[in-house]
Amino acid sequence: MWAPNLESLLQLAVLLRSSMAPHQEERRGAMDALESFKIQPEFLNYLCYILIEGESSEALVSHFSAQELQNNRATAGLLLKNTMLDGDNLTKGSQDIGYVKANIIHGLYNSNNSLVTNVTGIVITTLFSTYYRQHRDDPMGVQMISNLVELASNGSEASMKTLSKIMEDSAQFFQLEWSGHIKPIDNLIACFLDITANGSTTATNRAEAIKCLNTVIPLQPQSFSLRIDEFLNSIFQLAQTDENDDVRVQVCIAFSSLLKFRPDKLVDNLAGLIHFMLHLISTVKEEKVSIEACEFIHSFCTDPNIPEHIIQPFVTDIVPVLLTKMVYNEESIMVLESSNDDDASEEDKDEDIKPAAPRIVKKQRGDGEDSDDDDDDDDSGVDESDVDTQWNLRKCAASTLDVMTNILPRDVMYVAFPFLKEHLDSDRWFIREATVLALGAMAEGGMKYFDDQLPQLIPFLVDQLKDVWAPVRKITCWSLSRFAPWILKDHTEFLIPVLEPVIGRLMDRKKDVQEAAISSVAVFIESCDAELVETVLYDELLNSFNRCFEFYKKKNLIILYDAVSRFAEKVELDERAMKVLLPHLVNKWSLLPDNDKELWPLLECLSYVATSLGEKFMPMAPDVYARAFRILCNCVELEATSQQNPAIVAPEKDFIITSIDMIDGLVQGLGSQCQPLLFPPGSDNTLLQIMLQCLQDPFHEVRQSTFALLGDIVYFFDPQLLAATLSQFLKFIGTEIMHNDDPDGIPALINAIWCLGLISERINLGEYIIDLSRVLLDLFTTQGQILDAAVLENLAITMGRISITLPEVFSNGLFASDAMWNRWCNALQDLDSLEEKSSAYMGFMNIVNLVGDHVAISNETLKNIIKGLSINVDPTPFAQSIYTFLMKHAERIQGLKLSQEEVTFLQQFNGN
Amino acid sequence: MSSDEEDFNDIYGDEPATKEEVPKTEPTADTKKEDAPSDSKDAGSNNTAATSSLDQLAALQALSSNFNQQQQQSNSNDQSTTSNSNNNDNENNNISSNTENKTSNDVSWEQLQQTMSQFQQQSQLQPPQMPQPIGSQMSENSALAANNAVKADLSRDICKMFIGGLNWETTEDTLRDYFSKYGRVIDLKIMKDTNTGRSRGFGFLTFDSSSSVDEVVKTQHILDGKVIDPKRAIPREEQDKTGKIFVGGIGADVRPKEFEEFFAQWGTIIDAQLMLDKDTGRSRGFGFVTYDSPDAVDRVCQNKFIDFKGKKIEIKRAEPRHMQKQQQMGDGMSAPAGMANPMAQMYQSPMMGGFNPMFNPQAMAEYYQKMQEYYQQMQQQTGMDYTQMFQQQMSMMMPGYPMGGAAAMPSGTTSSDSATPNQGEDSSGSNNGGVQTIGGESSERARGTERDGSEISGIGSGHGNNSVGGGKSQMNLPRGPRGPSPPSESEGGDRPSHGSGRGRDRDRHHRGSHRNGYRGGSSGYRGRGYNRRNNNGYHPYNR
Repeated sequence: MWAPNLESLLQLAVLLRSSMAPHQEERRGAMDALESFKIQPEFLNYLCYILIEGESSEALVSHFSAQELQNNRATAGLLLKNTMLDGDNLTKGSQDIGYVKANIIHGLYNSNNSLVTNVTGIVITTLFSTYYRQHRDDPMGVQMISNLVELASNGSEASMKTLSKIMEDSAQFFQLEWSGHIKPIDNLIACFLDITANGSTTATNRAEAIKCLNTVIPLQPQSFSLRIDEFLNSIFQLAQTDENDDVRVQVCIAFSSLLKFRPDKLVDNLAGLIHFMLHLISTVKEEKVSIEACEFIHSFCTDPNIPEHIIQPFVTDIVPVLLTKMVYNEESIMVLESSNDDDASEEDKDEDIKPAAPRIVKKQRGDGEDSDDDDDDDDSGVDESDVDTQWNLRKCAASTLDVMTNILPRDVMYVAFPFLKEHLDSDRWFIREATVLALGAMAEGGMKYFDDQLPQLIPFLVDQLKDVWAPVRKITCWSLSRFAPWILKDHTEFLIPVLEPVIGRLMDRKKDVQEAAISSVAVFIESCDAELVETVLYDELLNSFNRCFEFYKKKNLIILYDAVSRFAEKVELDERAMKVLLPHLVNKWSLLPDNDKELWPLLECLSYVATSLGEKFMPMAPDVYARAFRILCNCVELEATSQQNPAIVAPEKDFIITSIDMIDGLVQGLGSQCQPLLFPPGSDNTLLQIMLQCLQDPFHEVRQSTFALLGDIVYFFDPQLLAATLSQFLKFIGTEIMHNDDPDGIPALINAIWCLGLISERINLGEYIIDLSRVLLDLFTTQGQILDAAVLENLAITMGRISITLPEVFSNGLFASDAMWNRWCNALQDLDSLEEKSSAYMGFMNIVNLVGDHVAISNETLKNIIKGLSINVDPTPFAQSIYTFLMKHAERIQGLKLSQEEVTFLQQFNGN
Repeated sequence: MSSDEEDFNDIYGDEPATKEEVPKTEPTADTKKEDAPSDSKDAGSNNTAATSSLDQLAALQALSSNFNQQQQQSNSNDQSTTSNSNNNDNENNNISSNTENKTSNDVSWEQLQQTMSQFQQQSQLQPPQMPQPIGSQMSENSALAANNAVKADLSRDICKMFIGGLNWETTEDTLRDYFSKYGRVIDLKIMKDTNTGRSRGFGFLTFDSSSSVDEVVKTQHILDGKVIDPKRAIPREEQDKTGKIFVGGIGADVRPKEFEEFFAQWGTIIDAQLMLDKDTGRSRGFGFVTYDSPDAVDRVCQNKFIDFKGKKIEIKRAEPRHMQKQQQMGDGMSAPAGMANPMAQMYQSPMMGGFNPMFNPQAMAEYYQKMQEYYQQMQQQTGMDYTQMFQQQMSMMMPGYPMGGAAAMPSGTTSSDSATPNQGEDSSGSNNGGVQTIGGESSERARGTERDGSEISGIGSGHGNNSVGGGKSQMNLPRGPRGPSPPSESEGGDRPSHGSGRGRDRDRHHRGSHRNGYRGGSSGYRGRGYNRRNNNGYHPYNR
């Protein structure tokens, strides 16, 4: 049995105490010292010892105060957890954790110290998510589970909570075989079911047990399926009898989960369930319960396996409840009423601005998971903006109404409309507000059914923009934007009467209203025809933007950038726009330091503006490029050094992404004209080197933007630029195509494929093509994995582009088959870009003609090819190969049923 | 695409389909319609398909003439006039125009000889024995009937079956187990959705002997709790030689056997389908009969109404779908330039509201037809299989009609859809207050329709003949994918492929697409399909 060396133990305990010291110096010193301890193989055992024996070890008790001992235990536990998570400490086996494995469970026994039991629970959870996942053959793991199960069955809340955390992290691993051919999941499920059904245990344990089972439901293990009726009995029973909030929350989640995975089990009780949920929503004070109940209704309405007519009978019951719950709750009303005063001239506090991570969708695992949690907790201060920042019943109800209207518009409208009409002019503002919210939520689905009501409704809504209550004005801005498609499609007579007053709200004295107004304007711009924006709205929008730039504070500026971006994307900006918008943008741009996050939206906006202005942006280009390039270089360099030196914190990836996009915006806007700027004659092409580094970045978004820039460089600039680095770029393209199977990485994958196509059109890929074509084909012909349609489309285009010059790489082997050709044609059937589709078919015809009689082409494929050629393809450059193909199959083409386009296509050869 | 897919199309080529015909109740057809030479009233069933096949000839001819031109820059104008005239005088000049084609083809092919010897060979062989396109054989039947009767050759054994209406849970193994009692199953396949890997609810099965097929079609089959629908998989070329009629107004007491026997008096029946209510097993008042020859159809169609078991039943030609399509094409081709494509109207009409197909079985069948074409179109555009979804919807809708006077929805009775201004909303007049119910919501069209189907069955007051029990489908009914919308509809261009239809899709409120979400330039070469502009803007209930 391992035992600590007393001297080391005391030394460690002192350091732990110092690490929590109030003085920063002392803290830092202690942290550094602890860091150096990490290489000690017994470090983890020591920490564990302090965690579990910290108040009983005589040596420690004699040297520290009771308070210090308690703190040290918790600190040791957290450090233990972090060290286990940190890198490969456990997997490499450099650390001795024998003592931890055998004794950590003792930390749960001491149930009068919840801090210690909680920390112990976290450590055990981590032990499972790191060590045991990879060492399932270690009998200690199974032993630990059965110990926990036994404790939990005897009513230990600490153990039950620990199990719950473990399940949340590692449930799926318990389906595998562990030591002794045991699948722990079976034992666990039995334990959870028993506790769920055990009326005498505590509510907390019951709630945690159901929570555990909720992690099991999606896995659908057999041992659960066998006893599912038992589980159902329990939770139906609890639904009727147990009024504990935690239990109710878990019961609701369980029903939602069952609805998704085992609808067959609920179908007979749907009516009862829905009324139960509605009952909870209407009566339970605790919002976390009513939210979960409402989530059930939401899932019920959105589940693809539930047909409308099952939902339909409940509309009359559900809709009124949703509508009443869309009113702000009492607390929110109080907060909003107390903060209705104008605030437009107050500066925004930095912490009010959502951490704008514009591009990174998902943080990588293990990276800052904890800090996310912290953020949520920090938001608990009561502030008016908080009313809308957290997910709440009102939002859940509105969202549910929205999806329901999409499914059953007529029924929902039938129930909701009379109700809403009655409250439209309520003298209580929050009722009016909720009414307008409901109208907006129903707009998308119910558009058709509003039709004859809208001409009266719209003037009414426009009127609400003048309400004295800011929340009403705010929601009305949004609600009107929801009718934008309706207005722009059939009822443009409303466009100006609606948009003008909304634009008027851009200058509202309340920042919240400005925010909704500028968002609304952005939606209108987005949904508008370019022509309409250009001819009717151009000046008015420019003038408004101009005023907004002067008026807005930080937070709304970000949304303003977004609106300007959409504007720039929609229409080609002219001189006047340049004179109006650019000074503002350049001004902000020069005020911000290189490391300010506000640069992200600004760079993004400038990038759109540059693209839209085209050559007119030329005078600004050198400065803009110089700065974007500087930021990019700096960030990439810091990134690299931070890998070596942990003391250096790498800047957010968004700096890299937005600066690359900015450069790309210049390339797109200025075309070949900016080649000398990016690649001054005689220089060493640093940009390409940096791009190569970016292509090794683990963040998809970085690679995505880099591939985009690479493609544009190839497209617009002299291909010779790439000569020296081509092989490396191609290598990364190949890697991306081979190894990117993360759904979040699809845009990067698409860009890599797209980029390869452009390169192949301009540069002879000669020696590389064998490998690259194999990689492309592997993905194209893949059976196991379901390919994203856009990936498939880009693959097909790129294969076509390559075959313009190198058809032989696809003319034998896997691609030389009728089925593959058909797949290829199908992949392109929605492509509407003439340039892309023409190039793709040009190469494809080369393949087909080269293959000749080796592939027996089916009628279906033949027809598909003709169909593909007949739409959105300019056949002129490769008419000869089309002739060859058509004539070869002339006889069979006669037997095909052709559409009008196809006949016209064949006929057009007549006119040449 | 596999050959089974092809088979699927083949089979559905003969789904309940009637002559495409503008609904009779359309007094206010707009000018476009009036301009169209399509004979909406008398439904000329004898000419238009021929036109289209001739169009194809013309196209091919044009093709060859192009070569011709390359060789000898002259004939093209003549060629095209020829083809035009072919289009127009198809009534009586079929043969002569064909001859004309042949001659012109001969000329052009000969001229190609030197440069393209491979084609030369073809051209010498081809004209004398150029097979007449099957389509034209079929549709010209009235002209040819006298001397050249066409019959489907069913003598060759059909061992392959299409099995529709499968429970989604049914696997190939259970299917094989079930059908093995009828004979040795040598091949079978359940069609799967390529995206989800889920069964699409139908499949194909091949016995080693056609007698097994004969046995199977004799009885009703229930597998995994669902009535399944096995049919002979008749090869398309044979199908085209068959003739199909729609029969409406059948008494509810008529049994399938009686139905078949009754119609056997006009010719040899390949398939007689009396539509039955899946719940009650009773006749739903209409059905389809497929004869082995168009002649039989002509004979039976000489009577518009026939007395059958004390009711006047209505007979109508039901042409195979792909031929109708051609007919449409034909119309389009011969229509004056600048005219709207009649297809476009057709595709829109069933969905956009404007006519109510549900007031009688006849219209229902027409509706079915249009829907199917619409879905096909959708399928082509979106790559999704709406057909299956549609089948399901229909099966839910059918028991529920008569529809008529759809619920009095306070709003939306005067919806006008600019895309189809001509689809006179009043047309079905008296009996459809709720036209828009079909039009449904753009983003959720399919759902909308299904919903209407089941819901209306509960309402349908005042239109007699209320059959009960519609829309009582089970939880596990196969359904088409839900959510993704036709590309043209979505604000920000959500691609269906990123279907937000799964689970909780609050994200769809995100607007727009992030330009850099994927990239490509303004020059129109960007990769496609990504939509990730990040929404900084205000939304009251985004997560």
